[in-house]
Amino acid sequence: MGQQLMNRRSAFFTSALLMLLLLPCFAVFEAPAAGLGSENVLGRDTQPVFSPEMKRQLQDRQRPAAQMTAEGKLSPGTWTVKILENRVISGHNFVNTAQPLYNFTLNGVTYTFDRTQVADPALLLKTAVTIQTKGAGSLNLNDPETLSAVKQLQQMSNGTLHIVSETPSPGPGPGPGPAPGPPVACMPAIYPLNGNVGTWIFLRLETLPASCAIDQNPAGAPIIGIQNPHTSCSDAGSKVFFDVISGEPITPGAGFSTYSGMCGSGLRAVEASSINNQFTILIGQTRYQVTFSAGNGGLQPVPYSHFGRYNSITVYDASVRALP
Amino acid sequence: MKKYLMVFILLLIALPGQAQEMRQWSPIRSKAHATAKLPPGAKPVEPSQPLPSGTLARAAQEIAASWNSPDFKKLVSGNFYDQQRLTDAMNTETAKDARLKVLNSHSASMLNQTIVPDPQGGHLRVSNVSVILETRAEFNDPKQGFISAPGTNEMVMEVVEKID
Repeated sequence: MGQQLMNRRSAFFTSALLMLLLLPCFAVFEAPAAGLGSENVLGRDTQPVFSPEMKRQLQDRQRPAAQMTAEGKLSPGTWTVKILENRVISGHNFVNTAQPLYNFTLNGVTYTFDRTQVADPALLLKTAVTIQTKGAGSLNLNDPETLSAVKQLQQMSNGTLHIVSETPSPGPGPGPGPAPGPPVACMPAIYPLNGNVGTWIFLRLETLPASCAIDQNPAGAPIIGIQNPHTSCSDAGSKVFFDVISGEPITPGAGFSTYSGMCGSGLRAVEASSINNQFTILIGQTRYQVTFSAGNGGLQPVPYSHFGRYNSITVYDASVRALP
Repeated sequence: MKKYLMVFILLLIALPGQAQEMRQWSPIRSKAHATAKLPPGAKPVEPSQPLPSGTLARAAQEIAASWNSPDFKKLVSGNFYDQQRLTDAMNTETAKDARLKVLNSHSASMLNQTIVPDPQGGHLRVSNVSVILETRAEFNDPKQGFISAPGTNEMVMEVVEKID
């Protein structure tokens, strides 16, 4: 019984060994038929043997390696290669277009939208720029016209537009305000004017809708100035006084009040809170809307005579636009 | 009896699991499919002529060398779907120091070859070739350190030759 079992086992292992030995042979014969299935495929024993002469002929038919040239300047024998399509099979896709969101930042406001859903992303960008340029420099959502324009933007973006953040321009915080810097192109300039008291903002109306700064020598265009000339006046509170330093006379509109007190009487003043203060003026036949932010400028430096008060106001982030 | 019952239960559990597994559907590029989309005026070349020796290998190296640089845009066909978006994505999403290496070029097959008139005179031979490239992108992530991202991509390249 045991001998029979041993014989069966040895017969089984012998046949298995034979199968293993013969397997590569089967593979060789099966490969062309199973893998390719074409009558043009030659078996190992039917590979063509080229004579040296035929080899040379074949080599002569090969074209020389061409040079890649700039597009549109191809000459016979040259070529260009460009990527037409790509499909990731596995792993990293180095031609990855999966960037659903597009964002850009303008004057501290970040817009995000899915540019694949936008019919004309360039137009959307242009509109956003126009809104901010015509508006307050930063996005003023308290302004009905701006709000309406933003809604239009959202429609253009098929509802994918998001205003990620609105960062107000750096203004004066508590304590002394920042030193006025040089005027920046196409931004309202804020700097002290020699010979005058307080901080002036010059808004050049002729450059509307882009409210650009002018040089320190305000000449030529009609210029309005917002200032706090009475820095020494302790009861001015949060009023910002307004004046025109050159150009045509103005008619104060909405947002104005007349100050009468220890700082003077009959002064044109604008109530100022921290951000987005607005008033309108009429110059000639055109009505302008001025928007600005204000902060406590703290103790005014020499040479201003301030009587030790802390009520001076610094105006910043101002812009102007013509109203229809 | 218990054994059979257990096997039966195991089968019941295992079979639906396999059924849920689905392979990603991808179109198989073929010559017939590509020929059906020929632009007007294009004359198909049959049988297709072989490309100059080393064309695709050099193109793959060119792509790798210019990847993540402004020059890469020159290597993307105007017919590439949403070409601008690709450029934007590369500018914003790809690490500045990321570099691409072509590890291997697996296989290439000619999808179609046509002769089209060259607007500047003469004729152009346009070949669309499908190439499978094995690549690896390498860059340094500020948080995760060195990143090596291998990938396999099937790329259709448009080879334009000036023939006369």
